Amino acid sequence: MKLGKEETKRLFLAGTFALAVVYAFFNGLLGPVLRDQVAKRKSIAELAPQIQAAKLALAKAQESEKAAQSAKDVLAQIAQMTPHGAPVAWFPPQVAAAFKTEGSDKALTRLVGETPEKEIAGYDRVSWAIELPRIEFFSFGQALAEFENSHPLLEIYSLSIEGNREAAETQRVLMSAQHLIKK
Amino acid sequence: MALRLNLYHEIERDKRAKSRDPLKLGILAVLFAGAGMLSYYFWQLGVLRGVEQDYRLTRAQFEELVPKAEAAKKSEQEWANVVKAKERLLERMEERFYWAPFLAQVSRVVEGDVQITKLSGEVQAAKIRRCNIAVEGVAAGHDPRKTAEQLRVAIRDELQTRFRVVNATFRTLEESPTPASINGKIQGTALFQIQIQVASGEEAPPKPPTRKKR
Repeated sequence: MKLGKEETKRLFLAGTFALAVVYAFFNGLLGPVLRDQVAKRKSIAELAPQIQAAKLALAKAQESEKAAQSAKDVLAQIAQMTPHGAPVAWFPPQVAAAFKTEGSDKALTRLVGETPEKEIAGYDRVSWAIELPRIEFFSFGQALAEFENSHPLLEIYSLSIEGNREAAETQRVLMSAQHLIKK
Repeated sequence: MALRLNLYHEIERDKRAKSRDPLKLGILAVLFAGAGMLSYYFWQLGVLRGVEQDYRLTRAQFEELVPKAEAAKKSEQEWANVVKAKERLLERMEERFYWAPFLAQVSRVVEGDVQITKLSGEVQAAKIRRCNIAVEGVAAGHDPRKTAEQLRVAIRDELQTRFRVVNATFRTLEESPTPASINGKIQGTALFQIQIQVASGEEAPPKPPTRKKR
């Protein structure tokens, strides 16, 4: 089959038009759609680990909240162990009452210092110097055991027991203690 | 043999030529390809709608969860502080040094031929609760030094039942010129000072050895 000149020209034009249409289709129609798909899929893939991490963080936070709730209950119980108000107003009478035994002199309790506790937020470390000028050793031992048990946030850091020269059957006690008290 | 004459051969040739017209075939091919391309385009458009829907859902989930997680992280720090405060307080309560049982143990081993004149001690504030105690007194007997030694050993043995580490050593032990009367008998005396060191609590585990670089 032999094509005429006019037909060749028309075929060439049709081919060029077809190429233009194909180019326009891929570049103007299908191209943006495919690019959009890729971009959206990439965004989904980027968000997925962040969502997973957020879910994990929420689950972890829920666990921490549970633990914190039980810790808060314990802290509330501990806080109830100490009376409200300035420690110097209620602690010395407690010491005097604890070591009040027959034949003993009144306990002398002095506030030495008060600093915020660094390791435990919301608590102050209160230092006391306690002097019991005249006690009897065995009744003192019993009173001390009761005192230590009834004040779980108090620790006696130093203790000195010395016989009284004027009354040999009695002793003089000096103690220094640190007390954790809720602000 | 019959002779067959085709009088329409020209018309048929024209017909055949028309049906093989490359322009017509080309137009048909282009139309076919165009229909295929359009179908593919609409199919991909549908896929894109699905992906966009997924993206919207994911984005909504992200926008809902991430601020919650950030808020939870901030609260978590507060909760961690509460838990830490509780643990520290309980640790303090459980690890403190109790003096009353210590005094009970010491008084249990002091016999009638020994008089304690002074007892003083100090607790070191650390994870391992070390306590240094000085016990001063007078020991009496036929051999007062031996009486004092018996007291030192008795104190050490008694305290070993409660504390992990116990050291009891004489700081001073010297005979006194002043005699003592025990049960009506005059006996020699010795002045002593016993230094006691006790430790309780758990030591931190040792660090694993680091491998030296070659």
